[in-house]
Amino acid sequence: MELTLPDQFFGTTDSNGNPLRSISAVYMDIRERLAEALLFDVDPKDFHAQPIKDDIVNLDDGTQSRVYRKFVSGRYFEQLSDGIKQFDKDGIALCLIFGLDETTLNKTRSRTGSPFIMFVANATGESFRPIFLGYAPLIMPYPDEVLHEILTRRGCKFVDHRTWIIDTVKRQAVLRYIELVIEPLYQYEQCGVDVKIGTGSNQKQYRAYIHVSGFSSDTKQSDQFGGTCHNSKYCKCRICMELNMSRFCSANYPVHEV
Amino acid sequence: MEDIDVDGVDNIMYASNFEDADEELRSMRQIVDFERIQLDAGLRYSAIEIREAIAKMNAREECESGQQEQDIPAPEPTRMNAVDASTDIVLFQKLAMEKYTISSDDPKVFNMRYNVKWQDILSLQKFSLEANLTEALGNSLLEMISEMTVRNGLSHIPLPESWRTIPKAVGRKLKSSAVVSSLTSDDVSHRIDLFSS
Repeated sequence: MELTLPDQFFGTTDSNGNPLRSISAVYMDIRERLAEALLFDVDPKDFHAQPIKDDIVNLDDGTQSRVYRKFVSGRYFEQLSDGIKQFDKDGIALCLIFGLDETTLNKTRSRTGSPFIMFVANATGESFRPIFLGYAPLIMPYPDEVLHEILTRRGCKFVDHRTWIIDTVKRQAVLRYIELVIEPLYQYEQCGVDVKIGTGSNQKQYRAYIHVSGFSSDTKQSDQFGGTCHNSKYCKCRICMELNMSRFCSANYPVHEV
Repeated sequence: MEDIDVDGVDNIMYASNFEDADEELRSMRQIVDFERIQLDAGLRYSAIEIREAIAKMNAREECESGQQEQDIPAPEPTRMNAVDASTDIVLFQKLAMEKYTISSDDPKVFNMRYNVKWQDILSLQKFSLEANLTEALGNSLLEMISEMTVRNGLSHIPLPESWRTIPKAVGRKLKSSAVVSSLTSDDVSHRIDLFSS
């Protein structure tokens, strides 16, 4: 895919009179990637179609509490599953987590783009692995200095204004890219989609309703797209003013339900 | 009680002349029915407190008279029973199973144009990578193979005429990305038929 720089700001030619380069990115069909991942990468015994409700621990004060160790043991997954059961008793929630990170799956740290990946949140253990979808256009076709020069030449004199234009163009390019990648899944919103999990005799088939239930990204990308920043423990999310941005955490420490 | 302009009450607080503001507030207190807005007339309230009490009173009276707008009900689940589940993903999975289970010796799938064998192309490309062959050396190699074949009276070995086509052939896709992006379930089933035929 190729996106042109908005001509109302940048015009159509650079300082040498050559046509402006466009923002380029590549992506694969998400349906095909999802289909192959569910078939070959997800072990049926690691795939959870229904919520796990047995993670109960006894606290010191004699009460019991649930521990959210995995996504499929969380309350959000329970609510999704209950909602689907209301109109389709055989349907399940297939939750996807998308991620955008310069270092994940980018061994050479290529400056041409950052991998856009996807996780199947229903999968646990070794089956919870990144599924590569494409390279997002995090890098513009020109360095920021050149973009500033182009804008200045076109009469944009204020630095703040130029910076805002460049940041907005970057954000919209990536958001447009993400929309293009996920767009093929929109058609399953009303009807659900049949999926097969695993191969061989253990293969299972479900009618899945796909939900995007998370987005994982680095500080830089979170700040760029969501207006959030978490550089230190003293830095709050700019949206919810929450110090602990990972309210659902399964990495090192569990989140107890009080 | 007369209708009270709530914004007018606020404007009293921002009047430039504070004495005038106090005077207007005092006149406002004279026309406000404190019992109706449920405030104690003996206490001294600020304009903001009076404004909030009036807003509460208006909401309360609208609710009692049934004029309050009804809440928009939550949308019903959008799935229609008449719509069957899509089978796109299953068809993609069927196509993937076909692709990954094809034998590399299958001539129907892996033979290229002019009867060039896929295995020959792969062997030549592997050799060129190991030997770091240039395109000119590759062309010489192809000519040499052709000469040796003729010299020994063997039948013609189908190989590309130019070395440049070999990397292109290795990178050849079974289907173009432009086709994939607009693939429908009918296309997938058609492709599966093509694969199995």
